[in-house]
Amino acid sequence: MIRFYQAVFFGLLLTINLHGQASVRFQLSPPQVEIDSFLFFAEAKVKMYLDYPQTIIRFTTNGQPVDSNSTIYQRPLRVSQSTNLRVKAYHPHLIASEEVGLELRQLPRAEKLMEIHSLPSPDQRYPGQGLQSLSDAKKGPVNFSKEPHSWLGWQVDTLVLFLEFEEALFLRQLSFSVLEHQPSWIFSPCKIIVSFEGTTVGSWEIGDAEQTSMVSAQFLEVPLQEQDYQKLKVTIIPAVLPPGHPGQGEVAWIFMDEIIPQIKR
Amino acid sequence: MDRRKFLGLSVSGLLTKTWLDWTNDEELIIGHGDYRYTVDVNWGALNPHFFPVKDCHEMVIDQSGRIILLTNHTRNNLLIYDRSGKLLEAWGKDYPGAHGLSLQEQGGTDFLYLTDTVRHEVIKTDLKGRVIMRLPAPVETKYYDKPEEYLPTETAIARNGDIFVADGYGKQYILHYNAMGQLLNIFGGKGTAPHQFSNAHGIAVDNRHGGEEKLLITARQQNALKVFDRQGNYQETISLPGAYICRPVIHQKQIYLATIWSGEGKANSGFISILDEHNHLVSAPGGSAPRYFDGQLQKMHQALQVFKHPHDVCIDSDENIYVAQWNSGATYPIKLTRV
Repeated sequence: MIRFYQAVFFGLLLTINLHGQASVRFQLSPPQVEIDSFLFFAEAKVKMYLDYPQTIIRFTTNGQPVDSNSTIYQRPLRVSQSTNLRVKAYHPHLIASEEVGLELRQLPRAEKLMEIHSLPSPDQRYPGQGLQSLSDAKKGPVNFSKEPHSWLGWQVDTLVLFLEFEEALFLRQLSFSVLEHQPSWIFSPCKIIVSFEGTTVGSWEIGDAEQTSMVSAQFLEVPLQEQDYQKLKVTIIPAVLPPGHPGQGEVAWIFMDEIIPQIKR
Repeated sequence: MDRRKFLGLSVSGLLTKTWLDWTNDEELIIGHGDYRYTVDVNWGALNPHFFPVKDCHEMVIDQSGRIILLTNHTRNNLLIYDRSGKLLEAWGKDYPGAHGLSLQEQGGTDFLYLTDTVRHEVIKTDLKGRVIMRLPAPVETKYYDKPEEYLPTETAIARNGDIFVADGYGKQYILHYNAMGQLLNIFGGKGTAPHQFSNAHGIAVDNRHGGEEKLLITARQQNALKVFDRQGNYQETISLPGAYICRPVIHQKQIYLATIWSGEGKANSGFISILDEHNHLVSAPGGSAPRYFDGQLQKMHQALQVFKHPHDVCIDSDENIYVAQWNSGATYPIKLTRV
């Protein structure tokens, strides 16, 4: 009897192993998400698609992870407020895709809000479209080498930005759109300090950052003491490349393409 | 075999088949139209302790039908397989920047042309690795001041033995040598004009339509193939939006291209592109279905994660495709079998 069960056991192992070699389960690619503008004043239009038969795309707009009960995408979305969008593709016979997360930001108003100066100037290899493009309400693509170049880059020990508003604004927060691609030595800064007339009015510091080879764009939010501001000084401290990184110990690059003042209404 | 063992194996087979049918694991077929394929991700797998790879950059097929893989791992820069994936030979320790690999039969003998971005040169060898000729960085010209500026990614060999070299990671020039290694012409360069390139990663000689040979040159960051005559005069652009293509590989009337990234150029977003004799995209294994609107190809994207970063393809006589990948975790080539 023991021999019978032994035979069943080893037979199962062999058959499953052979079948596993014969058929590998593949994963769907992340859905494509087209947004007419990540930064918008009135509304943004969002289109999602993945060209593979029998694929279903699900999404959330509250920043919660997508699961098999989330809303099914059927037609383009119209977004009229800042939204944390998460999207995932499903298929009956394939592994579900990785989730895609995107932030859409509603801007306070259309007209130009501020002048920007930096010390030092952006690296000549990554000048973007100039410092004033940090307030042009246009997001750069995650493929930062794609022309026209949208990202401004610095590799310095300390970056200082001077923001001067056209008129005093009652602010509650500054948002900085930064890029991260660790294999290219581009990391989110580790600290941002905002000061007004020599006094710190807001700060942000990074928590534990996971190691990743993915490229991502994200907003860093720095809450401020809520009051009127005509000028602000922003001091940005870059990350240091961590142990295990090929450039370990070197200063990481800062890549930025937008600064958004959040006005308190 | 005794009766109990026989009964045990039979029961296990029946149980397993029932379970597998219930889980409905169908074999995946990728591609579109007449160009569809099954996928064997383990075709080229070897023991990495004995035959390691880093990036699998390019592949060619010799007269005997052997598949030759070029990797930048200096334990064995060249790995030679038969069509079943069995390793036949391994050699090459001197090419740390091994990137481009072309093959041409000359007088009944196959020769290989390697580019090396660390050595800054092109090297011609026989199939045993014996060096026949070297084409160093053209620092004697006004185009280059030092060898480090020259990072050749690809060669293409014309019918008469002339050699075209694409400096795809350097200054984006195309260099034209005769078969003896004498420099005849330099054209192209970095820029956005039609005759210039952003990442001239690959080059091929196109003689599909008879008459004078043309050159197909990749402009990868521009998602395009550019067509030139042999004298370096620009003729037209074949736009492939969303497709970051590597070198064009011509087989019969079709062009096959490993497409290393897609969409916005994110990591792990590659697929394969297949163009017909009219240079229209007709299939994209691993990618979205090719669609034309008003004569314009719609932007392509990856649909399935079959590939990470396909860097080259080679096509056998049965029109199966072998795919070499860059930055894919030191994986070996994949085989796509045409159905």
